Amino acid sequence: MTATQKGMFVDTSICTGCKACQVACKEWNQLPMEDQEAVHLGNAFLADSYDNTGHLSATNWRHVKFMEQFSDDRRTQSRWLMMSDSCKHCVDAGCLEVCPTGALFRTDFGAVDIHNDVCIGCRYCVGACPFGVISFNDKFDGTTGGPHMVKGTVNKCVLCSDRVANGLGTACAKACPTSSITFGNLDDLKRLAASRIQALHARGQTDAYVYGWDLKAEGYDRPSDGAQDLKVVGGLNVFYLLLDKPGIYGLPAHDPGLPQKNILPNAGGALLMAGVLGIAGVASFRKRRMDAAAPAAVE
Amino acid sequence: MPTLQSPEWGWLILGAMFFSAIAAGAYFAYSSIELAANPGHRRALWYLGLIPLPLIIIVPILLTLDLGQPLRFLNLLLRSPAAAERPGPLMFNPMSPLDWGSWGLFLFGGFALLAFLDSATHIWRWPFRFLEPIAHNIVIAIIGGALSLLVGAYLGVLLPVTQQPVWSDSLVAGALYVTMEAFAGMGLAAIVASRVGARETAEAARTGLRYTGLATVIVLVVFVAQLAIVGAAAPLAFSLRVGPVFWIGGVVLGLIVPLYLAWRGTLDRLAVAGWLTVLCVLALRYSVLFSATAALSG
Repeated sequence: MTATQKGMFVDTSICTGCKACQVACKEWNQLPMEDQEAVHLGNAFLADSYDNTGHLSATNWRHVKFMEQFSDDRRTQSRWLMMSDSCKHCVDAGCLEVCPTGALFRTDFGAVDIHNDVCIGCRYCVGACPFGVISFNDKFDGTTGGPHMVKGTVNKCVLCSDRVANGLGTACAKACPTSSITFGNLDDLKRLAASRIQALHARGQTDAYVYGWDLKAEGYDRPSDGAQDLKVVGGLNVFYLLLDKPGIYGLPAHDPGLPQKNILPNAGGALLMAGVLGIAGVASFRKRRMDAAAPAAVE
Repeated sequence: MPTLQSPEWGWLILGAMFFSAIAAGAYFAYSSIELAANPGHRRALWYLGLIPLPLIIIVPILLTLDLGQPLRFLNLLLRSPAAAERPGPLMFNPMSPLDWGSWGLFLFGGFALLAFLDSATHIWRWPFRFLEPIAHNIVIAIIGGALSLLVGAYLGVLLPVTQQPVWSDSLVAGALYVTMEAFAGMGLAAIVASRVGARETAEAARTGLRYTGLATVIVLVVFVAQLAIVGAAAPLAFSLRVGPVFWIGGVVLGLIVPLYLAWRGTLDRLAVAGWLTVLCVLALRYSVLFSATAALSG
């Protein structure tokens, strides 16, 4: 990674769940409402905790997750975890690797962006994303959904590539009132993350760790005790400070790796069987089998 | 389970999977007969040669209809000027099984066309006798046969190269898809042999059904066992949406009954076994395709 690699560090320990990031993302990228029919019917909100969109989608490129952790009596122990989720712009990006048309590409800043005028809408990238980020838009076009919407193609956060190319940070980071989301050079962000881990551990919050990079292995100074960092898919250009297990946040608990890890066993097995079946097929129709069979009756 | 989104590949993709397997299976049997160089099977060979082309034409139509932007389907083969930088005018991403499949289907279409024209020349006296030296060339048979196996296998490799439950847990889906295709190919040879009254070919197809059927049973057992070991077999074997199709359509009717008929049945019953191999392909491909949806929907 060079210093020009940009990314975001999301510190969930200081997220207040205000959703200013969601609003800023919607506004800057001119993303439409998820379900306009539901708006007219008055039931656009999920009424599930304070979560009003439920998941990332082609029109929700940022989603603030609310994880409520209450004891059975809902009095003695309680905790809210909040996490502002988006595309992680993985270093080893499965979506980008499987794209059969070159519609997904890596920007100079390390983000994964989409050429919506090249995308054919095969949705292979949707299945290849380990975080359920990239989504298919089958509703909105440019006139109904804004400049990013091309009906029948996929959409996701593009790390505000238009803003970043002009020297601005991402809209979500700009709007975040607590600096829970920080935009910057990846190296600076890792340094910031290491210092936050140090501070939290010093305060006794030893369950804090970084999801996306292993800071210790990268040479950053962070405490060895307590929860350990987790590097996934070669590293995440948008990475997180978490306070509980990854599964609580709906993230993979182990490194899922690139989906291409399955090519070798599956293609190798297919190749082996193809060889065996090819020989079996020819052997079935060889002349000697005819000699053993009854004479041709009809031919 | 981590948050995942389904690519929502449905009935159109199942149709493409089914017809590609049947077309490729028919060509597999066709090329096997060609390479066996036994003139006793000529008549069945010609009728088998008629099958791959019409079916393989359906496949890209179904795949294209499933695209969000159907009119851009050529971006799979020709590199769009705006696409990510790659050398040359052609689009080929070696890390994407979808590109392997697109090129495989495209090239296989040429071999299917050749087989069709040669067969039509012999059966309906079409004026393509000049193609005979090419159509019956051993190199053409080997390359065409290999491409038929690629077309049969690529969707079995494509599904595991995702992060979807069941699919991404499988290490032998590619092998399963290719054995299914070969099994159906021998089934089609049995059907054709029965239709044209070629008892020699029927007898050979019976042998082929035994070989490929046994291979399918072995690979299917390995497939399910491997999924069970990693704790991912339940959506395939026990979900309401997939389980009955898998066990009844795929295993019992599609595999056990035709294998029994291939071993114990008379030659007259072999066509029934052939049709059941077609059912086997449909049921097993349905089961694998929709097992991920079943897993995601809980």
